Amino acid sequence: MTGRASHFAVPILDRWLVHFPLHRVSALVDRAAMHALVAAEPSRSDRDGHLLSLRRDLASPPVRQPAPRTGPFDPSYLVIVTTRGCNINCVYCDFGGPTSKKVYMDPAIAVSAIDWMADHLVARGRTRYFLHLFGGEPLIAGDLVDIVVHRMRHVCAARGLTPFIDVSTNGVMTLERATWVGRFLDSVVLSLDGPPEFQNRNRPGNNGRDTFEVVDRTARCLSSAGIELCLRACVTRESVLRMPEMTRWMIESYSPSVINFEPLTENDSTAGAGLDAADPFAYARMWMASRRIADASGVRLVYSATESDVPRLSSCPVGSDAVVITPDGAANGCYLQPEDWVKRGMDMTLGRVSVGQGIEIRPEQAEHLRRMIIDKPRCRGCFCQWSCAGGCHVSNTYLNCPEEYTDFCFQTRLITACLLLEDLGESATVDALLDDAEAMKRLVSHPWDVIGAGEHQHG
Amino acid sequence: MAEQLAQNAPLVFQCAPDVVWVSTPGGIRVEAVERELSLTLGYPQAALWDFVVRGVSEGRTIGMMRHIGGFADESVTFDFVARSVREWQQQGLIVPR
Repeated sequence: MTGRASHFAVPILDRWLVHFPLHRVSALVDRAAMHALVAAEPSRSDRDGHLLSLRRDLASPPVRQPAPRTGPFDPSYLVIVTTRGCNINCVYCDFGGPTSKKVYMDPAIAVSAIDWMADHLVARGRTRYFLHLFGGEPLIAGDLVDIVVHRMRHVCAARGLTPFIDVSTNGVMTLERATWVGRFLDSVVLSLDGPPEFQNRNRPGNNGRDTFEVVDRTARCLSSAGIELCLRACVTRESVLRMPEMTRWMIESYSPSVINFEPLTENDSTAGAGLDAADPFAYARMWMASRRIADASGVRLVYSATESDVPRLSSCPVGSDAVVITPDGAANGCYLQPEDWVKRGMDMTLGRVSVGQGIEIRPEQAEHLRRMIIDKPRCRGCFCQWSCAGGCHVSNTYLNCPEEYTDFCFQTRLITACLLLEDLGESATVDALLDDAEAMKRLVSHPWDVIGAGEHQHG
Repeated sequence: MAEQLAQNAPLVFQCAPDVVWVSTPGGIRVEAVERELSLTLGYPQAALWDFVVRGVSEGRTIGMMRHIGGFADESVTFDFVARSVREWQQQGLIVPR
């Protein structure tokens, strides 16, 4: 148990959205009902007993509270960062791609990590083995990728495990390599920022060349390969209003399983390139419009901060005992580069690969990462805390970060509320909310959503 | 590659024209439909098949196969590669490029 709040309410126009995520309960109630709920008073208007039911949930213990991991280190999946180098030059890259050297992991390190993970999974009685390839651009390490994928499939076949391999890629590859990916991998997250005017500007080649044409070819190849294709687009101030149009275009052109729109995070590079983050209110409005379009075509549209069917303590691998192996053989709990977390005074390391021996995990570091995700001061009063979970633990809710909500929080709070309302069949209320700038501001800046915890009056 | 390995003659292969193949969770399934020939290649042969039909050079193939198959040394890897390639060539599954 974490001792965190689990009963929330936020203002939606002239009503209140009540949300008990750990009870899987939400309701849209009027002001009188909200007052009665908070004050534990009977309500004459509660003819159907809904308020009584909510009050019962309010008083009862959570039924699905996620707990931090305990006990021996128990990795859920393995990430191999084949290289930090990259073959393109994205203007917003914060993984060091454009500047990192094309240094590839020693195959012996990769094989040791893969075998260690298989040993662990078999010892734990697991049947599935998840491997994620990440970079830089992971697929530029051609021979290493071949070794990693085939070695993993080999050990799975030998040890009765079902392999699942996915890759995050920029799609700049030969047609032969794209065909190979379609044959041997199960899922691809392909970054494509939209039509040529966005893709070529945001994601140029290292020599300044356009990348749209080759990524389009890769996307079409993967689309026909029968694997899970997720198209991931970074949304900027320039592209935000075209999200619905881009959604239709992506569905018609590439038939993806998933479309993932993530807002641009501004950094030194984006400032130099003249790229600005999207307005969080516009982003939320366009994201909801896009989601309806995707839903109508049976395509899942996702935003990482709301992407959870069950309550969670982390929206990324941190805290889940996932192991990220970097090209130098370090085993970390996070995809980012050490300098990213060091500048925040954080340590996301787990251990190191020892060739022929496997991965040596430092138990105290594993425990440190498990505990890091439990309490986020900025999130204590927020109704999204069990789904967003604070976002990136390094760049968003890092150690000693300011407690004020950010643009990330604004768009997350807005989208989360809209999704809950949609689930309640309140599409008209979503439309009214997204048309009302003042109502949106009231919702996103509501400082304390927790019911009965004192800091703010509901009702 | 088998010939090359045996006689030091440069030779790379490709799939025979009537052969199709797909990857499966445990390896690769190869079929020559007109000849009613079908076989399943487990690992590490499946990886070797992938390299052979892509025309990957002998040196790179042996280097990669040693890691994939966990072979003790280069000569053991070499023998495994030569034997498999010869067998596939005799079965008419691969032909010189």
